Amino acid sequence: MTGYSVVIPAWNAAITLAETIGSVLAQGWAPAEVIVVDDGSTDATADVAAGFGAAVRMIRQDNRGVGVATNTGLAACGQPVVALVDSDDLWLPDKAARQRDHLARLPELAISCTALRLFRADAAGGRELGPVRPGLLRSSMMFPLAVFARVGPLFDPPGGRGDMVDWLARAREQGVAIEELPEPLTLRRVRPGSLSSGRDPALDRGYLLAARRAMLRARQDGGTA
Amino acid sequence: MKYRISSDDVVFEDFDGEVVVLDLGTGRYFGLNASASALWAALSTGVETASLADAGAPADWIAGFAAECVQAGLLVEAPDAPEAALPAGFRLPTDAAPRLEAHSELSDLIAADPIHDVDLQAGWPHLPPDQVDR
Repeated sequence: MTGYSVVIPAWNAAITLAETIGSVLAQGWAPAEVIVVDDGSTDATADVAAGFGAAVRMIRQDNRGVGVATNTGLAACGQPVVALVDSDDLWLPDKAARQRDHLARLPELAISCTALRLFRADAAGGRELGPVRPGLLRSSMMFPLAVFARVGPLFDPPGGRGDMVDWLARAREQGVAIEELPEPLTLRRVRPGSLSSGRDPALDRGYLLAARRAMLRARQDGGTA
Repeated sequence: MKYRISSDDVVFEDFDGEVVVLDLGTGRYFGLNASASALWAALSTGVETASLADAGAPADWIAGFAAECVQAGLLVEAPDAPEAALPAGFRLPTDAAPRLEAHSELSDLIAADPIHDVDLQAGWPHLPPDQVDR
């Protein structure tokens, strides 16, 4: 394994992006490239990314959703392995190296995930750590780029939720192994108002659509009506 | 008898006449065929089963489907709920008996999703002792 790319889809993430990029650049196994996809931000996201100079490559596009932004970044990757991270989440310093070793033990087409620990910023600007959660999410994932070629692009459901549910389901159907390291090497930020926070019927439609799409695929494969 | 949706975790949508019901709490989801979808539209909004029977729905279809939905945790009996009228343009497709097809292929993926952190936020930072290390 020679090197890896990091893709960070970012939309109006000026407040958190620098911390995210910092945790990526601090990896014991350093990335060969870091790609920030600015998904039509109207805040200073682009300035924050540009502040890292040559360490970060930025791609800007009109606002099209986190799934499409992830696709844009994946299509631009120049390394055989890629890791994804949301623009407000953080990695512990040994995450990438641990996942390199993890992938070496897994089949050729595999996705390595890690457990997640929730955190939130406290009043003093520090981190208040929360419980550990399952890690089948974008921010914990590292995989060979060949997995993306096999599974195809992410689909953005309406409302912006469920894109990874849909993609991981398709990956599994394609025979891609999805394995999770039990150590919480990824920190997931919890804050009110972020896309994933709270129950919202309009946004939850994305999960229903992911379920519908899974059933239609099964019907097609099984040949039943 | 009248029914209502069991909890806020249970969400549904009609896709071209076939309803998908998803329990966000468990990650289980259900595909309903055309007749089940029509019955769901009525029962989930509190239509009295007798009204459905009056509209021509076979009694065994109504009873069987309602029992299945209760068993699956999607509906609960709600005898005191205000009675709702049949959905506008209600028509029960009769070519196949109602079917509720359960799936759990996405359960772990949906269960991992951050939407489940909401309740937890309310209790923060009162964490279980085994989760405050590191």
